[in-house]
Amino acid sequence: MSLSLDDENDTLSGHSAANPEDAPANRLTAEPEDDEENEEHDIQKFVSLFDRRGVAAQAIRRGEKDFESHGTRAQENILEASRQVLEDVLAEPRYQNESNWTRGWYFPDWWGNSPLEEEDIDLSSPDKDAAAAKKRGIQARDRVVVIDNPNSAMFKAMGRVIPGLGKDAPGADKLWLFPEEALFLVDRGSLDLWYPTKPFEAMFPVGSKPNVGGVDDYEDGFPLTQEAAYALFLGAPGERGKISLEQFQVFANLKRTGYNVTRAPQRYTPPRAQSGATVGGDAGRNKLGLWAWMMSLLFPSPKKRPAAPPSKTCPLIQPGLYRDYKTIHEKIAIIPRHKLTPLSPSEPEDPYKVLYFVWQTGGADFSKTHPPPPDFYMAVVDARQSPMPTLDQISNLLRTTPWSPPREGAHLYPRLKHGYRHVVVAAVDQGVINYYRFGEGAFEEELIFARFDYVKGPSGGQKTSGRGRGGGRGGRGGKRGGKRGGRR
Amino acid sequence: MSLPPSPSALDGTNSESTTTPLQPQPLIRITKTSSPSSPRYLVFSPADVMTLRRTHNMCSVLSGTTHLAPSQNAFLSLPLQLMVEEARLLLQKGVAYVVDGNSFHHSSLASMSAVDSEKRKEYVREMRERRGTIEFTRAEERRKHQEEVLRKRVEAGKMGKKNKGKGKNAAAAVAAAASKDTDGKGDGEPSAPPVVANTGLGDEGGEVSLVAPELEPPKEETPTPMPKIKLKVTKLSLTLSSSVPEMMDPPISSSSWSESKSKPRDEGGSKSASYTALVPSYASTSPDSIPEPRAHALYAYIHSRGYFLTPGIRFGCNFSVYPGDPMRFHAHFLATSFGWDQEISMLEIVGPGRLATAVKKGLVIGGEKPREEGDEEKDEEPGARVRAFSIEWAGF
Repeated sequence: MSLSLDDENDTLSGHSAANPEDAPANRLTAEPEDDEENEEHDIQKFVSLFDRRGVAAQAIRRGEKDFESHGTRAQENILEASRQVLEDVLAEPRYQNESNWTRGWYFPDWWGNSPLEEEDIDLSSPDKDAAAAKKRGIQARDRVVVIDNPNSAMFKAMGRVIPGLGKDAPGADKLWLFPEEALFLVDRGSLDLWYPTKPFEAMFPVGSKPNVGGVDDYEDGFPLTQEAAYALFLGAPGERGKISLEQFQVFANLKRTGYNVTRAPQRYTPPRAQSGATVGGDAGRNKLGLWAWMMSLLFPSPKKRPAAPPSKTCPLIQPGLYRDYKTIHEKIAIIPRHKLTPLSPSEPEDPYKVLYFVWQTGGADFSKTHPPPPDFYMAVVDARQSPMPTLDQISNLLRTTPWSPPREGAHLYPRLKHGYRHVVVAAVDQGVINYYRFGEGAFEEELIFARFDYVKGPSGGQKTSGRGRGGGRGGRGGKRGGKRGGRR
Repeated sequence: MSLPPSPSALDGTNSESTTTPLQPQPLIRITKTSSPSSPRYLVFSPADVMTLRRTHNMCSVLSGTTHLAPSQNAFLSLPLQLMVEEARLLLQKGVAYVVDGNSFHHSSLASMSAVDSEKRKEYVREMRERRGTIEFTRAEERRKHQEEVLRKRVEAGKMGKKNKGKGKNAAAAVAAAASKDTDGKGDGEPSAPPVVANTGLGDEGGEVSLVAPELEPPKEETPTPMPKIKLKVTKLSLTLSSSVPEMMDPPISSSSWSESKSKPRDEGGSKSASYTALVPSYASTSPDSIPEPRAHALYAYIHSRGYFLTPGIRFGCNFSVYPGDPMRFHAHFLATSFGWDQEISMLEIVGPGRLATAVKKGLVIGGEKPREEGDEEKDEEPGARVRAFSIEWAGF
């Protein structure tokens, strides 16, 4: 669960802002939703950016939404103009030029009997076994659309050929799409989905070019409508060759934003932590300076937890000489605590199961066959039907994510927020998506007493800590960075 | 409290009184998809989406990628995802019907698979016709654009050089350049011979060239004659959004419905009897085909007061309530439904209440009074037995 340690006074401090409608909303909702709400009335401007139908001639109106209808014709006209633009956009046909035309054929059962990938895929060492790495993420059973002319840039990150079957296996050398990929491409007008009326072998003979006609040749099949594509591809979560509407909406939302998304394999071992990462607030204190080393010779501090007091009745702190609070605190810490460990994965169940691997864009080109370790692990739930996960569900889900301890030397709050594992859960309410980051926080790893009397931080000095990768709702925490920096 | 009618409900723009009840209105087609256990309700026709917005005060959620600008999430496009409450309410009002997308398309595709299927021939004919129209309009637009570019360049050239002969040459050169510029791999020659127009119907032979009749040399006293630009039609592939009527699923109209409307709503027998003849087996007009969601009554109640409602997940409630089209207005309320006898802990009110106040909205809670045992099943509007309260953070 994302931790919010700020006091709530922040929440209401935006009241006196110049624009009371927006300012508090900014603080309370995640940014994307807010944008969506506030920009909706700008549809005319938006349309003018890509317009091909002369709508741009209409005035581009930018302005605030009104509080309520006041029955004036001016207001009605503005609304009607916006609606008209919306209607024009919705009615704009999806078409592709023949020159860069991409067509997919719906063959839902071609790989229907292909075995599920039962083998456990180890994400941390993709190069160990080249053959296994090739098969990684194929899940042929769920691939239902074959592309006969893959000439779109979209296929850099989508679609796979089916490896390991040899050259004579019909269709294995073709590009096959998951239902969500096909549906997304149809939606964005980049894929012409056809329903075949001939058997697969006749259209895709082994070892030669596809035997299919052109744009105007309806002998082998016919194009499907967008509605038909939704009807054919949507199903219950987990149904073979289908995708649930919520899962698809999350996929499309991420793709539109520019993330690379693939289906997570059925079973996999999350990548192991990078070497050197350790648990707990003691990290980094092993490197002693010369002076400290000499002092440690003079005043040896017990590395291990001190032994229990000799009897149950005697005081926890034996009379003696104590040079710092730490020794005393360690002696009175007698309650055993949960210890986080990098566990092996167990089997999570729908819907609290990692469905998508998500990569941020930028940096090196994304390779769909040899992707780096994912940036995010994502599960998708229906906000209306799935309650909050149980402890078992969330632990099983978190166990399929990599051990990812907070950055060493980071400050306390960012460490707590970052947690040791984290997963993103996309909750979808009737088409509206909210993303939540669940992190396995570890209060017990942060020894508050260890910070009680130290003078200088373990490392980094004044450096303010960055937000974690998936910083989640760290925004407000970030604003208070000044305060935190001053705590010493 | 009882919710005041939305201000916009008072002006005539969105009330149903503007539509003449006598004229048969096509019913809104809702496609049921996803698994049978938890169906989702989608609308694929732009006209239906706008009818919902203009006449029925439902904006719902546009959830598909806008193909004209596919890399953004702010303005989405078809399909429109109806909330379950909305789908049910539309059926209760008798203005929509639900098609089981899965079974309809499977049976439809099966019958179209046969080579000599009449339905398929019809479909192909329809596809060709529509493609032809779009191909033609696109070609025309391209040519207009080219002409515009050309005209500007020629004029610019005229300003620069007074020598007419040179200007003419320049124009011809520019024309060639322009058609190359705008047409990708265009090999358009200026002043091509006119070719008979062809809508592309059934023509298999490569490019179809057209010269529109208005492409005469301009009559103004332009000294340089405008070079003609060949209208070059490139073939297109087309993906239609709705399967109606292209897949030969005739739209259902409400003509018989308005006749039977005088009859009491709850006497489902007579109403559905008048439907059975019209409605194919994969479609349904019965509201009970959609299981009633928990917050349905509250939705129906608030909606009946002229408000627009959207899913409430952004604010952790059931619905965000807008006084008019969310395109123009901010939400006024956050609404959550409770059971009639449900005990509500104060803490459940504090969080949403503070949030609502902080974003300048009111928190509305409401519930539906259950039917009493002796009560006759009266003919009543959905949501008629709802009571709702607005809660504000007093801020002492």
